[in-house]
Amino acid sequence: MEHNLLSLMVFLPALGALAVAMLPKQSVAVMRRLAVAVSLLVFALSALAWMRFDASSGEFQLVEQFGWIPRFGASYLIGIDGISLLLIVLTTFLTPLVLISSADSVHHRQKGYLVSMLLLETTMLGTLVSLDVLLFYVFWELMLVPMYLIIGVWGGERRVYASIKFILFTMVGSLPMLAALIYLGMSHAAETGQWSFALVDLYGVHMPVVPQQLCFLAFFLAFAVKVPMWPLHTWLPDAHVEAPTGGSVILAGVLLKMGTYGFVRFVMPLFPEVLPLAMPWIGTLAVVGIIYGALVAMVQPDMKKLVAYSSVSHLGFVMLGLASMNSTGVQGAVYQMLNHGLSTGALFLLVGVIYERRHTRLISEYGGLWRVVPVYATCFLIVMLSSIGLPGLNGFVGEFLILVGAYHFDPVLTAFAVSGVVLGAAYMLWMYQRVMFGEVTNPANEKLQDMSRRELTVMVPIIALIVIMGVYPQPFLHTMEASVAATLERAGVSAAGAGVHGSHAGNIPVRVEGLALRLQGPGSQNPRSQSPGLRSPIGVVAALEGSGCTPRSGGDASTIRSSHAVVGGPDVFQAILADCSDGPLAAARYSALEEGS
Amino acid sequence: MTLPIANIEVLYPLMFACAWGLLVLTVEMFSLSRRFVGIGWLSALGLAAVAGISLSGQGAGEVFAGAVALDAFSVYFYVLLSVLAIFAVFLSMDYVPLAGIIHGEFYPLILFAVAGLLVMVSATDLIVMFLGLETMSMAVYVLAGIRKDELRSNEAALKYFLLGAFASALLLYGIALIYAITGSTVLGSVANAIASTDYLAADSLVLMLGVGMLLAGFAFKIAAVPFHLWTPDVYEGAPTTVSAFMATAVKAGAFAALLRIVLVALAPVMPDLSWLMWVLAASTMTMGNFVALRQTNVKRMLAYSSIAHTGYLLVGVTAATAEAGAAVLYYLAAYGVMNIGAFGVLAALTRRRHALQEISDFAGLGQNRPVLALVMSICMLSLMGMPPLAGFVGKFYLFTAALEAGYTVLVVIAVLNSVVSAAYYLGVLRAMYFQSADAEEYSPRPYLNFAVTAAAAVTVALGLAPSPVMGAASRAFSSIILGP
Repeated sequence: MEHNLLSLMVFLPALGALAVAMLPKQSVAVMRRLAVAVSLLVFALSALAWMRFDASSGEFQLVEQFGWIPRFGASYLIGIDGISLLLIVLTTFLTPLVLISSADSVHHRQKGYLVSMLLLETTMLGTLVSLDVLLFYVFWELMLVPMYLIIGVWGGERRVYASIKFILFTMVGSLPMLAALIYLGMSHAAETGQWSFALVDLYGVHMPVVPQQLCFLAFFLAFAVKVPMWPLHTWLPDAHVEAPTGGSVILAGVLLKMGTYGFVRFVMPLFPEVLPLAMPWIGTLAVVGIIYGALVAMVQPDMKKLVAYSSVSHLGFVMLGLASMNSTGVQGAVYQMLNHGLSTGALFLLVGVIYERRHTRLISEYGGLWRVVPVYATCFLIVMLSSIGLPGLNGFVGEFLILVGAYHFDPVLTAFAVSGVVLGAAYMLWMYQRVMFGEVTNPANEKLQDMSRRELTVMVPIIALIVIMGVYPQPFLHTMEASVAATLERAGVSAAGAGVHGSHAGNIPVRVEGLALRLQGPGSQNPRSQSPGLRSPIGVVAALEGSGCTPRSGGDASTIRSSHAVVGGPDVFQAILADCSDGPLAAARYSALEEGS
Repeated sequence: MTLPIANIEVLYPLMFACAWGLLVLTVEMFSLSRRFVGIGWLSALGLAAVAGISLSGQGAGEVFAGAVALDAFSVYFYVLLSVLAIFAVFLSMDYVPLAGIIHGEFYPLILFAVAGLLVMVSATDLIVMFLGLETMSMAVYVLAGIRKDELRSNEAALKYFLLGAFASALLLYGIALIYAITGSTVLGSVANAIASTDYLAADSLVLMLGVGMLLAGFAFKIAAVPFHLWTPDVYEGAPTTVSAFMATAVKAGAFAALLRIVLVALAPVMPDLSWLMWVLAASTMTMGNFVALRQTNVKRMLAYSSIAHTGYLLVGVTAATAEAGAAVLYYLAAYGVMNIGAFGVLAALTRRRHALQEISDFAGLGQNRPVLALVMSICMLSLMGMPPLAGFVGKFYLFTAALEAGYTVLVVIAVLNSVVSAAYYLGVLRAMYFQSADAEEYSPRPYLNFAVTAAAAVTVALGLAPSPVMGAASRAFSSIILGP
């Protein structure tokens, strides 16, 4: 267990699913208890992983590896950094709650539902811990199957249509990514003679500009469908509206984050040279999504659809934060992923609560609920305020960081995004007003039951976390800080260069003959990293001509100057760094960045 | 003419298969019960022994002046064909009484078909290859029509026989023409002869004609467009386990022979014919997938899906590199197992003399027969190419090899085809899980259930741990490339 903590965490839900499947069909209560127990155990394991995690390092930790297809250098390689860790905890936190709530919202074939949910958890966790691109793809695709079943079997009236649309959209979106990752593996083979799909190996692959742009597009498409970014979002409202409550919670809470997570984990570090060109476009699409989602949400008569469109808007914020490419913005984006998981998950749960009582989600059917179900209305109020970003609750922290980061990136876009905040407040408050305030207009609502104890059991932990994350965000930000910095370094942005904060001297791009190269620096080495093989695998091609670098001593650096390029490991580069004063090299970095953009 | 029989041990697996077939036939004559379960066991045992003998005799060399070789390639297919045939036998042990097949020849015929296939895959001479093909075909013609009282079964047998005979004639004509130009029917000599002639010159048009006829004959056997038209009717009409055998073992054998011909005998011509294979591959998979979309009968759908998979396999033949060849070998194993599982589930749904074949017959299976539904799901998802199942690894291997060989456009077509195929494979899942139906009473079917569960397990295992089979495929393929 010491060395297989992550594997245990990933596959425990699948084992639990197997155990649940073995139970006789009639013992629904037993199997639900078993499923909840398993998922709580998984949550405990993820907490343990958090305790083992060294937040001061941006390296991948708790790494495990063994061979899968040696022919292609694909292996079962898993590990976490601060970003994936937080999303893992979000996943393991939401799953037990969803399983508990299924007692109210799932009325037939409960066994299949619990099994699907647990299998879904395994695939989600697998996606988050994969450090091998092919393994990631495996979990990424596999994730679709249980969700397809959850929507299709336990969904609403148009569930078959919604489930097919869901699976085909995401599957078609991810096939180009498969092609691109095969290309990456081939490039690695062409460069080193060895196939590899290990992420850290692929970070070091040098590609010509055009293939890099194509690969970028392929990955971006896969993730943009999942996020979903405008205009690829059309599957989302259908899937959300038709999915059962638990399915919606997981879909909004975790599955959508896989898109933004993939963006952080793969797109940003793998294609650093394309980013300066692409980010303004992505930022623009994100802002269009923010405003479009908000405007469409405003006119929805159906509460669930309203929340679904609010997701489009909120994830626009996340993408905007990522597009800003500075540590404030990216940290805000990751934080907002967690926030959205909590608040939107809770909103879907709350809509589910009232749907179970009245079997309608139309806003016009309600009104004046505040008097009938005060506890429900209070919960709804807190969650809604979190969703619109009230200071003191979690949503504020994320949105604030994103907007600050985005301001450094593009003030005009930020101005539009702020209008999205206002619109977000508008549609939420308006919906709340119509549902909760005023007189009870519909006699059917007069006898509504307030939240049951089980519903409160599900809701209270989420609300507690919403408050904690709003008041005291430090532990969460601290966990991701080094990882965000490391990601940005791999993406070619030094934390110092972007003018925010941080002191890592990690990867420095130097543009030579139209090709920017990344040099692995000493700043990203970490003695506590558990995998020595992962630390710096990149054969560094250092071409420093024109950098104005003056060697203080002879040896390596002069060799470099005379031959224009050498191939060597990080030790060579450390020697170069030792030889160069920080100034000229930093200048080279800046000029390279300018050339790149 | 005397034939040197120095390496007679090369023939042991073959001789054993034939002898065992005769033994089973004899035992069956004297068996009193008409359930045939014991005969099934006996056949499976013999097939397992064939695999064992061929593994122990690996690398024994050639016999009959280079007409038959027991190289790594042959051994790979001996084992693969034996395993697939064992699956077919196990499926049949429950299916045969259910389908009302009262002819004891069923199992011996499968063994004879296997014997023919063994000859076919290890033949390094065109005539011997043809001999194997005909032996196999004769047995399968009878198997397809073994339900004499069933109209569709008769139709299947007749259709398969007439078109098969036509294809055999084409094949034989092609062999004759090639012999006329090269003066040999041994694959290696044919290759040498072709390499030393200017085959594009006008007077060598005869050779191209021969090559074309040869390829057309094989295109029929592997069900490639436009020679595929018999497939859906025959698969639909034949007893389900026979369809399973045809779609997997027979296809694997035909591909093995095709690989030997295309990549050994015709290797010098292939660079100029790769466009033809390209077109064949692209049209076969596209046709197969798009027509499969419209099927409501699962057996016909599986038939079209098998055509589509022929197309994917042809991508590897088109690329014609060592990697691509190994990928084809791996894919044949993966495809064989997952497809036999899918046909097996169909067989398991048979009620007495009434085959359940419509998609709507799968409704509610997820609730009523959860294990069977899970097996079917695994097979469908694997056929679709869902990671990490065997089908995904196979496609990945195949398409990567084709990409490395530079066939980007063809791979793009193949990938798009996979998306299209998702629609109809998922249709089965939809019926099984999204729709409900009343539970039916089934008689116990231990062998069927065991066989399909095993097929699903192997499908998962081949995806999770593909290395052993990949390694074997790679060794097998390099043995024929380096051979002559």
